[in-house]
Amino acid sequence: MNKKILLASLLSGLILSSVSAEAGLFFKKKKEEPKKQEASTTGEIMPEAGAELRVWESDGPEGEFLELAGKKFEEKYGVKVQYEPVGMTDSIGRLSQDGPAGIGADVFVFPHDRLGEAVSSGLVMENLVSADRISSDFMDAAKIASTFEGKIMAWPLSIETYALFYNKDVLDSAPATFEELIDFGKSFTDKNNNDFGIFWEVGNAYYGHAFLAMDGGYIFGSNGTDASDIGINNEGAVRGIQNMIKLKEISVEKSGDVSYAAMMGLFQEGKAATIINGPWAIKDLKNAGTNFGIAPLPTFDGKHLRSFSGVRLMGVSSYSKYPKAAQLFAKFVTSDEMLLERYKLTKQIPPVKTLLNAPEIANDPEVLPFLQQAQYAVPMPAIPEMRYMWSPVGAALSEAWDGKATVKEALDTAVKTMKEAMNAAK
Amino acid sequence: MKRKQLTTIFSIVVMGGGHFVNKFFLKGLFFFFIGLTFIYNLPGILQNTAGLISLGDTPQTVKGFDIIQGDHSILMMFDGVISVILFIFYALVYFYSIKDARRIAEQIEKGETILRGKDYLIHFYEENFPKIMLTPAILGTIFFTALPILITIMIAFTNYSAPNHLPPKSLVDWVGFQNFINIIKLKSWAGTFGRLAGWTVIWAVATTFLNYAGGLVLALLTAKKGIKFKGFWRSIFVLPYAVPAFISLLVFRLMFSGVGPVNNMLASFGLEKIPFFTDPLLAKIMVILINTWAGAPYFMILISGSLTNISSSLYEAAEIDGATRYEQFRHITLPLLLFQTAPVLILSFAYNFNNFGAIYLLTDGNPVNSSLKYAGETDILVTWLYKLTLDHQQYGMAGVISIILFAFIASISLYNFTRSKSFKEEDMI
Amino acid sequence: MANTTKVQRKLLRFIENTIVYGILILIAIIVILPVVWIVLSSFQQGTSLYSSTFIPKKLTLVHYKELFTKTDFPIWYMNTLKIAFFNMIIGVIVTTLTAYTFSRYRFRGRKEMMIGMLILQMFPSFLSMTAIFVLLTKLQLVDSHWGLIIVYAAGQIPYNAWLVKGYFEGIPKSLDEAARVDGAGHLTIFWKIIMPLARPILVLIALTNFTGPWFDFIFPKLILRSRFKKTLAVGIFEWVQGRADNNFTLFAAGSLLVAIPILILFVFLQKNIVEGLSQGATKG
Repeated sequence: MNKKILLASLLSGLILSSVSAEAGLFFKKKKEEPKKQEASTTGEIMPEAGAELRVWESDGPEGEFLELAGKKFEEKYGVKVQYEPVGMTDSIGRLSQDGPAGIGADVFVFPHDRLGEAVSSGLVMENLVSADRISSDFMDAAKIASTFEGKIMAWPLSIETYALFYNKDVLDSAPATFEELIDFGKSFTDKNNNDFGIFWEVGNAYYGHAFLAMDGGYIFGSNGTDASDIGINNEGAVRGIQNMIKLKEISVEKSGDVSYAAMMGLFQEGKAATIINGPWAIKDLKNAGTNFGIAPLPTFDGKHLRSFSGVRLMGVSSYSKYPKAAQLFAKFVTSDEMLLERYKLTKQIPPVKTLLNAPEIANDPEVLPFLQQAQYAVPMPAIPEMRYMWSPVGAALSEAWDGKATVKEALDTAVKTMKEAMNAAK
Repeated sequence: MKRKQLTTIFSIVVMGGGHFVNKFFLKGLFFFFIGLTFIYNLPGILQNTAGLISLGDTPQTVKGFDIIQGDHSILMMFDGVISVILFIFYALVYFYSIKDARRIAEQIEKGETILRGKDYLIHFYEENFPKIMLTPAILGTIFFTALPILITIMIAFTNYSAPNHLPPKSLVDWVGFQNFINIIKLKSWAGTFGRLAGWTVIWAVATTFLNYAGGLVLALLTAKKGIKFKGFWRSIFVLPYAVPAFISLLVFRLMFSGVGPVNNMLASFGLEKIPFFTDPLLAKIMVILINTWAGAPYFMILISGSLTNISSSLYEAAEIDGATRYEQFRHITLPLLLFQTAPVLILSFAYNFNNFGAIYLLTDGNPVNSSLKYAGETDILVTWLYKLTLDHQQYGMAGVISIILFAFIASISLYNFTRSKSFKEEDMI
Repeated sequence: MANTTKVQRKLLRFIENTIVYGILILIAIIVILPVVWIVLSSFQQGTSLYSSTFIPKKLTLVHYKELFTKTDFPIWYMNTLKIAFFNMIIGVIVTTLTAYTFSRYRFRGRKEMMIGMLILQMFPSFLSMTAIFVLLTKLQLVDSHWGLIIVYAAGQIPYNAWLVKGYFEGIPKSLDEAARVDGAGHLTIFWKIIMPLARPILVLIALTNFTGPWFDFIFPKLILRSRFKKTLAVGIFEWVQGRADNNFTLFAAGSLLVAIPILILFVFLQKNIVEGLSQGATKG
């Protein structure tokens, strides 16, 4: 009998506890009343007591810098910073899952063209601690990139654009104009033997923008904020892309044959004389022992190519339990001193005006060409509608390149597709 | 009669009450405890069910450093569904407790012996063995397969989408069949859907058939009489299975690209380069062939097993009758194989229909075709859906397409399956 | 006369076998070439898998060294091993019990349940992934290996249960009926009679359940969040996924170290899968 009771009570206890434990988890506690904020208008903002921060940033040198910054921040404020490697393009998607689950980052890094998406889904907090500094000390491109609907929402870490890489074993000096490059390329190119004067991801709108915008084309009007004004198929854009297609003579026959891997492989072997790529490629090329130089994109018809510039932003999660500590950390990381440290580790351009004149940055041959190109760069629009642009414009570039459609037709189709998608989303 | 009525009433009023009336204290206590947990959970269940209906009323509010997280509609939907399931579970236990108590009362009235304690448990186990054995599978399927599908289907009836209906900043609402209507209205997208659906069916049928046929050929060759080193050949042919598909597919992508080694070889022989992945038709053929390369080895293993399962006496008899080897294959091997593997074949069709990885890794949908909306020539419905959901965050719309997709594939499979011999005759074995 | 036919037959068989060997060799080449390319790439200098020549100009072992000194590869390897092992154990037990029940018992709702499982399997699983994530969050199983194991073990049931059930149908019911007459219980019959005869299919299920986690990069990416909990597939796939991540050679080296144990496992187990089945059939 005793055994039976024991067995039964064990069994019922087990079921009871598992059922209630499980159930308990599902049930929301009464909504917590927000704690009254002690008047934060006066005095300095201090981190919350017992604060600990979780930070997401890409693996590699960026991560190394963040670990360093975390240590220094802890020394200064006594707040522990835990770094986790999360790629910058993954972070927003992950935060929308991990945030509500309570395991999201307090501070995370993301590309600025997804700022609109992050704000409209309520994932980032406004920048409450260093908006003034960003307006006054940072480059305009960085300021625009971190602003959404008139508010500064994030902290710019670096600014990047792409430029021309040339293989010094093949080309003595960088071509200043595309006309020059075409001249060289005519003799160098042997498509059957995979020798190309220039090679880049033809079907990628990120690079295509440089041509599209060189003569008056643009993605969205009013500095990339007006989704109703699309300039992708205007006359200037058509002229720009027509220029781009002139390069087919010295480049790949089919846009579909281009891949990042093939581009890097051909360049390393000296079979692609020039490529269009960003600073992220430097490390790979050095490891492979390639003898290369970097230069701003050549001019075409005497006009400068208007590359896209991207700004790496740091944001504070709206799910953060320690918003003050998190904002302080973002402010700390974007101080002149720390951005200089960051530059040393990552070779990424700090978007602060005064730092750009610092001799070590201004004379760095791996930075200077990108800086020169950045003068003509256009910040990627950050409105949520950007997501509808990539695929149709990329397809249009490919089809125009492959000769399946005229430039005008291809760009018109892209705009039509975009407008349909935007209407469907309304 | 009186005992039974009393039992019923007590059972209805308090869970386990009927068992107490009949002095089945342990069992009564057991049900009583479950009843207690129900009462404990009831407020939560009600609150969450209400949340399921409203999907929240307060969005996120931000004031300086104070961020008050409002209602997260999608999480509320989830909690609501779980609560409904929990409620159904309680209801089932409740009715079972009444039924069980009444059975006991009846048996006492009739003076039958009633199993108690250990004997009861043994009897219970004997009676319900199939149900007990299936519990893990059923729970697993309900929670990890059915429930997520249910949520996805429910999302099709909401306006969950960027930019204005993304939690936590904004709320999501039920919109009924609005998404379905929108999709019908979007005529230009219907064209894309139709094109992709056609290709998806061709792709799924061709890959399933070729994987199976390829596996069959490999299995037959390696099982052939007089062939030496069978294990060696099999080990070689299983290589594509052992190398993770995500690398071999990427390798193929590079190998056959316009500037890759295969085309270089062609060029060095003075031949024209072949646009393996840039010509729409050729690209489609390539993805099917490459997927066969990667998929056939699994079927070789499977079929090798099934082949030896066919009794050799059948072949001996056929040989005496003078059947040629082709006839033997046609009338013995193939039917028996198909009989054994029909369900696997149908599931494999469904798998390929949704084979996201193969397309994503091999072509990412390319070559491009601007007349397709946000899709390329080799995109199948699932990869298109993925692009729409991920890049555009149109979850409601994606829900609608996945329902259509699911209905489509499920009905094809179900039709084929219920007609297959292995289902019709499965009780005859 | 009899002699000539014998010679003829021998000749015919010789020609036939030669053709078969020819085909086998041809297929072997098609199968091996891409694999060889992966092997060669893993020894190639630099990071790019792309090479205009088939054989790289310089070979190096540096990528294998890097795997163990500069990356979390060993940790990921152990994680994957653990997940694969438990997925195999749990998967085989649950699957065979389910298949046994469906094959040997008749009860209400049996066919509906079987079809239901089949149909549910057809929903593209990654579309419902967010829901799975929320469920695991509620169960506090996010970022835990057990969460992933449960998802795998639950997800494989329908397909494998159908496969195993098909095999069980081939084991004559007279065997378990005889045992039942002798007084054997449900599980005894399962354990003592069905299981030994079903060894080949069990080995196959065990193999596929074991190998699954080595290849999948979709679910682990969803469920496992922190760096040291990653599985191999996710970890090495990230080396080639991002814009600046172009580490194809390291990726190739890592992939080979994934493929080798699986290949060895197959070489050792193939007898059990292929020849065991015929034994099972003759016993029946």
